[in-house]
Amino acid sequence: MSLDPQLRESILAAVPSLRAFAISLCGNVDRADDLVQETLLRAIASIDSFEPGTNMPAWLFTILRNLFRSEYRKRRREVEDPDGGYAATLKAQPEQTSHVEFVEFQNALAKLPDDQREALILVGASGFSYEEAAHICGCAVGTIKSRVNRARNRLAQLLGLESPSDFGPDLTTRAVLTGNDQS
Amino acid sequence: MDVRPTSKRGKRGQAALGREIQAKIGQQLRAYYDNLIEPTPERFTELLRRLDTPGGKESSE
Repeated sequence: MSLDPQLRESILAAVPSLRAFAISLCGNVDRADDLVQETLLRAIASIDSFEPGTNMPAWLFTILRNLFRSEYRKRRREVEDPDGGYAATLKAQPEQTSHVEFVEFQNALAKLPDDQREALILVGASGFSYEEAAHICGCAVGTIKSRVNRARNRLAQLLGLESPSDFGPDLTTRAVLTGNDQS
Repeated sequence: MDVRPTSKRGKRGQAALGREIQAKIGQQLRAYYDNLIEPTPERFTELLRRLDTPGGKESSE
Protein backbone atom coordinates (compact mmCIF):
# COMPACT_ATOMS: atom_id res chain seq x y z
CA MET A 1 0.00 0.00 0.00
CA SER A 2 1.29 3.42 -0.84
CA LEU A 3 0.15 6.48 0.97
CA ASP A 4 0.29 9.99 -0.35
CA PRO A 5 3.07 11.70 1.67
CA GLN A 6 0.84 14.67 2.35
CA LEU A 7 -1.89 12.44 3.68
CA ARG A 8 0.59 10.62 5.84
CA GLU A 9 1.87 13.90 7.24
CA SER A 10 -1.62 15.13 7.99
CA ILE A 11 -2.44 11.86 9.74
CA LEU A 12 0.71 12.04 11.83
CA ALA A 13 0.08 15.68 12.67
CA ALA A 14 -3.31 14.75 14.10
CA VAL A 15 -2.01 11.94 16.30
CA PRO A 16 -1.10 13.93 19.45
CA SER A 17 -4.56 15.42 19.77
CA LEU A 18 -6.23 12.19 18.67
CA ARG A 19 -4.34 10.40 21.39
CA ALA A 20 -5.27 12.98 24.02
CA PHE A 21 -8.90 12.51 23.02
CA ALA A 22 -8.52 8.74 23.30
CA ILE A 23 -7.00 9.02 26.77
CA SER A 24 -9.83 11.32 27.83
CA LEU A 25 -12.36 8.74 26.66
CA CYS A 26 -10.64 5.62 27.95
CA GLY A 27 -9.08 6.97 31.12
CA ASN A 28 -6.19 4.64 30.44
CA VAL A 29 -3.11 5.28 28.34
CA ASP A 30 -2.50 1.71 27.18
CA ARG A 31 -6.05 1.23 26.04
CA ALA A 32 -6.00 4.65 24.42
CA ASP A 33 -2.88 3.76 22.47
CA ASP A 34 -4.50 0.55 21.24
CA LEU A 35 -7.50 2.57 20.20
CA VAL A 36 -5.32 5.04 18.31
CA GLN A 37 -3.49 2.20 16.60
CA GLU A 38 -6.73 0.57 15.54
CA THR A 39 -7.97 3.94 14.31
CA LEU A 40 -4.88 4.46 12.18
CA LEU A 41 -5.15 0.96 10.71
CA ARG A 42 -8.76 1.55 9.77
CA ALA A 43 -8.06 5.00 8.44
CA ILE A 44 -5.36 3.76 6.13
CA ALA A 45 -7.41 0.78 5.03
CA SER A 46 -10.17 3.14 3.98
CA ILE A 47 -8.06 6.11 2.96
CA ASP A 48 -9.85 6.14 -0.40
CA SER A 49 -12.98 7.31 1.35
CA PHE A 50 -11.19 10.37 2.67
CA GLU A 51 -11.82 13.38 0.46
CA PRO A 52 -8.59 15.31 0.01
CA GLY A 53 -8.89 18.87 1.20
CA THR A 54 -11.42 18.03 3.88
CA ASN A 55 -10.74 17.92 7.59
CA MET A 56 -8.32 15.08 8.36
CA PRO A 57 -8.46 15.45 12.17
CA ALA A 58 -12.28 15.35 12.11
CA TRP A 59 -12.18 12.24 9.93
CA LEU A 60 -9.78 10.47 12.29
CA PHE A 61 -11.68 11.55 15.39
CA THR A 62 -14.86 10.16 13.85
CA ILE A 63 -13.25 6.77 13.29
CA LEU A 64 -11.79 6.70 16.78
CA ARG A 65 -15.00 7.79 18.43
CA ASN A 66 -17.02 5.13 16.62
CA LEU A 67 -14.48 2.47 17.47
CA PHE A 68 -14.55 3.49 21.09
CA ARG A 69 -18.33 3.39 21.16
CA SER A 70 -18.58 -0.05 19.56
CA GLU A 71 -15.82 -1.45 21.70
CA TYR A 72 -17.30 0.19 24.75
CA ARG A 73 -20.60 -1.57 24.26
CA LYS A 74 -18.76 -4.86 24.50
CA ARG A 75 -16.50 -4.11 27.40
CA ARG A 76 -18.50 -1.70 29.49
CA ARG A 77 -15.62 -0.16 31.36
CA GLU A 78 -14.27 -3.33 32.81
CA VAL A 79 -11.33 -1.38 34.10
CA GLU A 80 -12.78 1.59 35.86
CA ASP A 81 -9.89 3.44 37.32
CA PRO A 82 -10.44 7.13 36.97
CA ASP A 83 -7.89 8.29 39.53
CA GLY A 84 -4.82 6.21 40.03
CA GLY A 85 -4.75 4.63 36.61
CA TYR A 86 -2.89 6.99 34.42
CA ALA A 87 -2.10 10.28 36.07
CA ALA A 88 1.29 8.96 37.04
CA THR A 89 2.22 8.03 33.50
CA LEU A 90 1.65 11.48 32.11
CA LYS A 91 4.30 14.04 31.59
CA ALA A 92 5.07 16.48 34.38
CA GLN A 93 2.19 18.67 35.39
CA PRO A 94 2.32 22.21 34.12
CA GLU A 95 3.17 24.56 36.93
CA GLN A 96 -0.01 26.57 36.69
CA THR A 97 -2.13 23.50 37.30
CA SER A 98 -1.62 21.91 40.65
CA HIS A 99 -1.65 18.16 40.81
CA VAL A 100 -4.65 18.23 43.11
CA GLU A 101 -6.60 20.32 40.66
CA PHE A 102 -5.63 18.05 37.78
CA VAL A 103 -6.71 14.89 39.57
CA GLU A 104 -9.89 16.47 40.80
CA PHE A 105 -10.77 17.59 37.30
CA GLN A 106 -9.92 14.21 35.84
CA ASN A 107 -12.15 12.47 38.36
CA ALA A 108 -15.01 14.84 37.66
CA LEU A 109 -14.64 14.31 33.92
CA ALA A 110 -14.73 10.56 34.39
CA LYS A 111 -18.11 10.88 36.08
CA LEU A 112 -19.77 12.48 33.07
CA PRO A 113 -21.87 10.34 30.74
CA ASP A 114 -19.90 9.39 27.60
CA ASP A 115 -21.90 11.53 25.23
CA GLN A 116 -21.45 14.63 27.37
CA ARG A 117 -17.77 14.03 27.95
CA GLU A 118 -16.95 13.56 24.28
CA ALA A 119 -18.94 16.63 23.26
CA LEU A 120 -17.27 18.81 25.88
CA ILE A 121 -13.78 17.67 24.97
CA LEU A 122 -14.26 17.98 21.22
CA VAL A 123 -15.57 21.52 21.51
CA GLY A 124 -13.75 22.78 24.58
CA ALA A 125 -10.33 21.17 24.16
CA SER A 126 -9.76 19.52 20.78
CA GLY A 127 -10.68 22.72 19.00
CA PHE A 128 -13.59 21.55 16.87
CA SER A 129 -16.57 23.71 16.05
CA TYR A 130 -20.04 22.64 17.17
CA GLU A 131 -20.74 21.65 13.57
CA GLU A 132 -17.61 19.50 13.34
CA ALA A 133 -18.33 17.90 16.71
CA ALA A 134 -21.86 17.12 15.57
CA HIS A 135 -20.47 15.48 12.46
CA ILE A 136 -17.96 13.45 14.49
CA CYS A 137 -20.65 12.25 16.89
CA GLY A 138 -23.25 11.74 14.19
CA CYS A 139 -25.88 13.96 15.77
CA ALA A 140 -27.47 17.37 15.38
CA VAL A 141 -25.63 20.58 16.26
CA GLY A 142 -28.31 21.38 18.82
CA THR A 143 -27.69 18.04 20.49
CA ILE A 144 -23.99 18.81 20.81
CA LYS A 145 -24.74 22.23 22.28
CA SER A 146 -27.06 20.76 24.84
CA ARG A 147 -24.59 18.01 25.75
CA VAL A 148 -21.84 20.57 26.21
CA ASN A 149 -24.09 22.66 28.42
CA ARG A 150 -25.09 19.72 30.52
CA ALA A 151 -21.47 18.64 30.81
CA ARG A 152 -20.44 22.09 32.03
CA ASN A 153 -23.25 22.20 34.54
CA ARG A 154 -22.41 18.79 35.87
CA LEU A 155 -18.72 19.65 36.11
CA ALA A 156 -19.55 22.83 37.95
CA GLN A 157 -21.47 20.76 40.48
CA LEU A 158 -18.79 18.12 40.80
CA LEU A 159 -16.05 20.70 41.20
CA GLY A 160 -18.06 22.80 43.60
CA LEU A 161 -18.01 25.80 41.28
CA GLU A 162 -21.68 26.57 41.28
CA SER A 163 -21.49 29.69 43.33
CA PRO A 164 -18.95 32.27 42.17
CA SER A 165 -17.76 32.84 45.73
CA ASP A 166 -16.66 29.25 45.71
CA PHE A 167 -14.13 29.53 43.03
CA GLY A 168 -10.48 30.11 42.65
CA PRO A 169 -8.08 28.99 45.33
CA ASP A 170 -10.86 27.48 47.38
CA LEU A 171 -11.11 24.59 45.00
CA THR A 172 -7.61 23.46 45.69
CA THR A 173 -7.72 24.30 49.35
CA ARG A 174 -10.87 22.35 49.90
CA ALA A 175 -9.55 19.34 48.02
CA VAL A 176 -6.49 19.33 50.24
CA LEU A 177 -8.51 19.75 53.41
CA THR A 178 -10.91 16.97 52.57
CA GLY A 179 -8.13 14.67 51.51
CA ASN A 180 -9.32 14.18 47.96
CA ASP A 181 -5.81 13.57 46.85
CA GLN A 182 -4.88 9.94 46.51
CA SER A 183 -2.17 9.89 49.10
CA MET B 1 -21.00 39.24 47.66
CA ASP B 2 -23.72 40.66 45.50
CA VAL B 3 -23.46 38.65 42.36
CA ARG B 4 -25.79 38.11 39.50
CA PRO B 5 -27.73 34.91 39.57
CA THR B 6 -25.67 32.21 37.92
CA SER B 7 -28.59 30.43 36.41
CA LYS B 8 -31.54 31.45 34.32
CA ARG B 9 -33.91 28.96 35.75
CA GLY B 10 -32.41 28.75 39.17
CA LYS B 11 -32.31 25.03 38.90
CA ARG B 12 -29.08 23.17 39.41
CA GLY B 13 -27.58 21.40 36.49
CA GLN B 14 -30.03 22.68 33.95
CA ALA B 15 -29.61 26.35 33.40
CA ALA B 16 -26.79 28.43 32.02
CA LEU B 17 -23.75 28.88 34.19
CA GLY B 18 -22.20 32.19 34.97
CA ARG B 19 -19.56 33.43 32.63
CA GLU B 20 -16.78 33.18 35.18
CA ILE B 21 -17.60 29.59 36.01
CA GLN B 22 -17.69 28.66 32.36
CA ALA B 23 -14.33 30.33 31.89
CA LYS B 24 -12.90 28.47 34.86
CA ILE B 25 -14.14 25.12 33.54
CA GLY B 26 -12.86 25.92 30.07
CA GLN B 27 -9.44 26.77 31.42
CA GLN B 28 -9.24 23.60 33.53
CA LEU B 29 -10.40 21.50 30.61
CA ARG B 30 -7.72 22.89 28.32
CA ALA B 31 -5.05 22.48 30.99
CA TYR B 32 -6.14 18.88 31.45
CA TYR B 33 -6.12 18.17 27.72
CA ASP B 34 -2.85 19.96 27.03
CA ASN B 35 -1.32 17.80 29.66
CA LEU B 36 -2.26 14.72 27.67
CA ILE B 37 -0.64 16.02 24.49
CA GLU B 38 2.70 14.41 23.81
CA PRO B 39 4.82 14.02 20.70
CA THR B 40 3.61 11.21 18.46
CA PRO B 41 4.88 7.96 19.96
CA GLU B 42 7.34 6.11 17.79
CA ARG B 43 5.03 3.12 17.47
CA PHE B 44 2.61 5.18 15.38
CA THR B 45 5.25 6.76 13.19
CA GLU B 46 6.63 3.30 12.63
CA LEU B 47 3.18 1.89 11.93
CA LEU B 48 2.54 4.44 9.21
CA ARG B 49 5.95 3.87 7.72
CA ARG B 50 5.36 0.13 7.61
CA LEU B 51 1.92 0.44 6.07
CA ASP B 52 3.27 2.85 3.54
CA THR B 53 5.78 0.40 2.19
CA PRO B 54 4.76 -1.42 -1.00
CA GLY B 55 3.56 -4.84 0.02
CA GLY B 56 2.94 -3.63 3.56
CA LYS B 57 6.25 -4.81 5.00
CA GLU B 58 9.57 -3.28 5.81
CA SER B 59 12.01 -3.39 2.96
CA SER B 60 15.03 -1.79 4.50
CA GLU B 61 17.24 -4.76 3.88
